[in-house]
Amino acid sequence: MKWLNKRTWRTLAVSFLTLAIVVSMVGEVANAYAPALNFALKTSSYKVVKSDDEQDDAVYFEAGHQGTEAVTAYGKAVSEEAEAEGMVLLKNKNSALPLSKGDSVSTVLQSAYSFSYGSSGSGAIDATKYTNLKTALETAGLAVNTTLWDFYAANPSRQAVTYSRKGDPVYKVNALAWADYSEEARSSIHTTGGTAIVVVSRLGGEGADLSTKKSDGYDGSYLSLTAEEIEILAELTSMKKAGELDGIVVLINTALVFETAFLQDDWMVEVNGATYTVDVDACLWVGNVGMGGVTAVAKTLVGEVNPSGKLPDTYVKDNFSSPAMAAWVLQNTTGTYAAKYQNSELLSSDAQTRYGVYTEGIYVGYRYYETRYEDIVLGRPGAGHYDYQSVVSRPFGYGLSYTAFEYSDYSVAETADGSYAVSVKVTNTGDVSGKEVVQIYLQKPYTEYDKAHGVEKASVELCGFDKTRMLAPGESQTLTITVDREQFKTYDANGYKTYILEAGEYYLATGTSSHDALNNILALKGKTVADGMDQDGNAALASLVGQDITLDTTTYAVSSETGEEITNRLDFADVNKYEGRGDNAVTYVSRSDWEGTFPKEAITLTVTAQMAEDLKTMKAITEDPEAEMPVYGASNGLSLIMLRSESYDAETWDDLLDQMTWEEQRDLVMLAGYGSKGVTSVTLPEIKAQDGPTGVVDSAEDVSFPSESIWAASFNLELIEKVGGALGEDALNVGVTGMYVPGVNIHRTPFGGRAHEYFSEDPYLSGVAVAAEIKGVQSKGVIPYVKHYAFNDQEDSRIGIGIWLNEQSAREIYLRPFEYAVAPSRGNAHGVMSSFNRAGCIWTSASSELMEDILRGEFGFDGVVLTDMALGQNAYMSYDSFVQGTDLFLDPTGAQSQFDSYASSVTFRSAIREAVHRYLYVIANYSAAMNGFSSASEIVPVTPWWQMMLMAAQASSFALGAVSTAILLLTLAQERKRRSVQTC
Amino acid sequence: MHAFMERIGHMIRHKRSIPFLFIALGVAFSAAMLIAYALTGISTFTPVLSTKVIVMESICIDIGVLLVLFEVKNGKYGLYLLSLWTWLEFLFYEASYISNVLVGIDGNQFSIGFILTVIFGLLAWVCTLISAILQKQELGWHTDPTGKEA
Repeated sequence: MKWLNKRTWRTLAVSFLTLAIVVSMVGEVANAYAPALNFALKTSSYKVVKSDDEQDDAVYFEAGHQGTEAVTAYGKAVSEEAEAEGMVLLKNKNSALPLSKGDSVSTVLQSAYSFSYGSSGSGAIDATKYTNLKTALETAGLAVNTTLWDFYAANPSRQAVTYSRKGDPVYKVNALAWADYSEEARSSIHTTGGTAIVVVSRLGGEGADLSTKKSDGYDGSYLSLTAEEIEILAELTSMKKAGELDGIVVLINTALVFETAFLQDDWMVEVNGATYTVDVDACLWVGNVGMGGVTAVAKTLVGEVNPSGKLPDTYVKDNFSSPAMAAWVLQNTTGTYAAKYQNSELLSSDAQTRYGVYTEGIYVGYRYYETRYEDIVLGRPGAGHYDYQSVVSRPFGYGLSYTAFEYSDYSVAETADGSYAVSVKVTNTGDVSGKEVVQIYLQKPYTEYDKAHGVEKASVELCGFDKTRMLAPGESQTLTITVDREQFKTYDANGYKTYILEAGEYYLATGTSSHDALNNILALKGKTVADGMDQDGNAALASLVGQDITLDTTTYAVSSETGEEITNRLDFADVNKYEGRGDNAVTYVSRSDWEGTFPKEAITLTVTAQMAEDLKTMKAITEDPEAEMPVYGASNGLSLIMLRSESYDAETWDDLLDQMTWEEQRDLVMLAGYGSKGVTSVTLPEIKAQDGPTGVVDSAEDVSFPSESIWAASFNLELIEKVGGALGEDALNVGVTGMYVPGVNIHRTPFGGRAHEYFSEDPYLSGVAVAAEIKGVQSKGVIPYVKHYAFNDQEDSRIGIGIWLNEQSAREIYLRPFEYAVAPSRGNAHGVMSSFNRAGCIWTSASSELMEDILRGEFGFDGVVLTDMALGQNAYMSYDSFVQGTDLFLDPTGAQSQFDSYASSVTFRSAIREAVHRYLYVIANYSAAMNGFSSASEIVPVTPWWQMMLMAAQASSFALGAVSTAILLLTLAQERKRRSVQTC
Repeated sequence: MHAFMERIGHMIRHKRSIPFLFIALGVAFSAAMLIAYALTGISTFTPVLSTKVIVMESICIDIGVLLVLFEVKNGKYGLYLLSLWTWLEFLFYEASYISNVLVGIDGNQFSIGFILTVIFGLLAWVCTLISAILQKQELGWHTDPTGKEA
């Protein structure tokens, strides 16, 4: 066979060996990513072997709905319900809404066709199968302008984010100009008549903040109308005035806080040298609507649903008017958030070089807008020039209805435990049924002590709320809301260094918004329009309380959850208190002098030697002389399920942990990305976890819910708990028992990129909402990892950026939602995800103050702390964090080369063991992954089919390569022999 | 030794064959990959260079130089396999970085240094393979520009 010559064998040998090398390397990568591959391919590296014992069917957590069809239907229904109760009616001139069935509508702007159901990043969903707006409107009984719809189908939205060479993101709308519309499309609006429904949407997602400049909004930002959108709205306004349209309704279809100057009647704006007049009749904020929300939107437009949501954020006419935004724009000419340290050449990594300073302190959102308003009315020195009405479009808590409500019989009674029972009678005085949210606001006294010690107090803070049932016209309901006296406390970071209760005048008030409640308080103080108020308040809806309160510096100096002392823990994160600050100093905004302290110039921080040291990662561990080297590999005959219901401190936990090997413990904490491996020695099943604040990323049928801010806007905690439960059920349906939800960072500014994943600018609303969601999720045995702890309120340079802030704002604003989320008496969450950023110079996960002192010590957290994505992020992620209270690294690969350098430390090994202890405790007691396990169950490793295939391919290609090579060598030897014979 | 030096001199004066050019290019690209990696390989994802990759690439260069001097067809195939293996080891070592960029959460992009390292490494084994395929003689030393043995 001539073809079996050396050339053939050489070709075969090289080919097979090439294949063997490639398959081997592919195999190495696949094995490193085995958990992720198993998840994607729905395989497992472990098998549960059960006995015939009846207890094998033990179900510790039940899903209310079984099967994809039932779970999906339920999720969709809950999604619709959440949207229905959360969307907010911002304007309704001359009862433009609701429309009537049979009315004609034109859906205007490309966003109508490219409706926004969700976001990108960890909140991404596939909405291609969802009901579109046209179908929803037609189902609701409206006649939709098909010509215009088809035009948009051929010209869908071109919104996109691009990146500059430096990596700065720029979001743009790229809206089609009116001149580029076909004549047919334009004239169809005339011929259709009826109402124009204008859909304004904006994208958002993790990894990038929204653009503050270089975008195509008329103010240069992404969160305002573009010139094209304004021109089209002006055209519609002209048509309306000409009698061709009945009305213009705007749907704000984004979870982001959109600038709403356009809500003014006959709004005039100059753009590109031309002046436009826009007159919108009605406006609904609908957020991202999720799977079923568009149906709720359509039903609301025709009056089947009466909107009852209230804004969870302050909507303004100028998104740059807050002190936080004033500081933002001063900081960078590029428009991005993070500043760069001076002397940053001293630093070893780019991830150490960025910082942000929260100079606004507690004055976030309405806390700024309302407080400064009050100070103007009261004539407080330093209030400066400030006109509330020219800045604020719709205050926090604002929301209209298709009906009207009257408040009466307002009363406040002190209860036996010192709390306050606030009662309000709500009467539906309108013509249709509806629900009303009763909001209770607290004003604490701003005293001379506060001014002297830098203690800031907002003029109003939301401290309670409730929602009526559906009230028919004429029907009334009295709501009684309890306000805990503990909410009267204030954090004094400079004087007593703890929470204090001061003597003075406290007010409790209700109102239809934060501003309305404040006006009621001002009315009780005797102020009127003559004093500069924008409208007279109702003193009958406010009460002076707390006259018995005297200075108390001890009651709230200990945690009501744990009894642990509460004192300053975050001096290292306050520029003015950090020991290594050198000459660095910042001025925090203070109501004692608004003008003098309002941000006016960029904050420049210079790296000192101490800062450079503190910014380092992979620090040495201080050995604990009492630490003992753990025991490994013991045979104690225990399995994890046997310790379910055992207290955390029970000795049997030690016996169980002793059974594990060091490698098992190491892999458990290091390979905790999207779940964890099975562990045979303790019978821990393989765990799957997934992303998705508004929907499980791998949901079987892409179930998703509206944006979190819509849930918050419902002010309906039962409903939020229901959403949490539905989310948990959808997770269980795909075998997921851990979820990286919810996000509870604060809407500090409108431009924070992940605002769609967070609830509100208000910490109380965020806190009670997250607690409700967690109850729902955990009731299904799904562990939520509340994120991002802490201070991850914007995206720019989030990898490693140092956030500097004072302790009062840290505790009262940014940590409060986490406190409510994890406190055993509230949300009782058993999982927390730390953040990418630093607090000061210390990565949050490596801060024992944040992890141990505050989270566990004060808040009473009993669960596990997981890092954010740790795909080799060694520039700021640090394994010494295990000793500081972090438990798990979110890394699906475990390719962390420096981990083993700590392994010789007894303290480190003890910390790893404790991390494993916490994780196992949470799984044993709170996870549906243990469903069906009994003491006789076993976990055995199995080889999934893809691993078998790879091994087979590897073995066969190596074998064939070896054989081919051997034959080749034989052939060459024979040839040489032939040649030498011929030569002879 | 004298004979060895004569061979080198002869090679310098006469070697112009295409397989020679490709193997020389392969060695050059291997060296370029090693240099690029050494200069730019440390990143936030890989704070230390891979010793394995450095050692393997160095061996590739050593063997490559020998094969430039003493062209051995089968040797070139062996070098190609080793070079391919080294390149794949490099990619595996950078798996976290590659994953992070492809996942796109942080907006990270591939650095110029990384791209060059990948390209040089790829060209190294591709050129070596081409040289091996094109070489007609089993042992290619002492050939003149016409391909005949000296």
